[in-house]
Amino acid sequence: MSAERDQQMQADLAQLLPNLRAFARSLAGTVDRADDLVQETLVKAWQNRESFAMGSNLKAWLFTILRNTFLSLERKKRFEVSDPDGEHANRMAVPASQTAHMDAVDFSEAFAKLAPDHREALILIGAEGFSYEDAALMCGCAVGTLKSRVNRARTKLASLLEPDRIISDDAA
Amino acid sequence: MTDHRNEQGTAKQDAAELHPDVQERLGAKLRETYNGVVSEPLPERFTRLLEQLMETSGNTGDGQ
Repeated sequence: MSAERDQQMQADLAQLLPNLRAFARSLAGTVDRADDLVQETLVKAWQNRESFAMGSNLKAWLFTILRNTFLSLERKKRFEVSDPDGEHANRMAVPASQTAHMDAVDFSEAFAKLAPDHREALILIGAEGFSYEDAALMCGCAVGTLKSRVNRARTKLASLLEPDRIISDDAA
Repeated sequence: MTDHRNEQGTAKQDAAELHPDVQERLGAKLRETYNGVVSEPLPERFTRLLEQLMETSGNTGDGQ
């Protein structure tokens, strides 16, 4: 492992950190838990950096590590006490600067009501702009499954946020 | 299986129910919320962590 390559990796990690934090926030909800998730992801990525093929998609690689870490933590959690309500209320905690926008709060609350795999699909496609093919690889599912998750996530969000605008029986 | 909602509903159906305007607004809000987090200042713990990781790589050339 060359020091040069390590330096490059370190710089790349630093650059992608904000996106990792945002992705983690959308999965884990609370800021602290999300940042713990990012920390664990960085450590794992560093330990396994030799297995990363230089030139391939580092963001996709890191996001995959992060979501797998999240899922294994969730599996562990299932055997422990469920979340206190306080943590739920905090999900996708909106920065104070945005709370002036009632919209933003409503959106975060609605988003938090989605199933984790639907949140994930929506973020990868709708916010990060990954291709369906890449996102499906990252999630370990079929492209059709991913598309279905995205569509259901959108429909659910719309039904929560704009119930009056949901149409329509005359769509045909 | 007592739930009347159609969990197996096809993607096509789901998508067809959503007005393009609504979908666009939702997408904009999603990106706005997400990018809000992306643009947050980075906590110091991560700057420190990156430095620590680099130190564990050993051969940074300096020190020793």
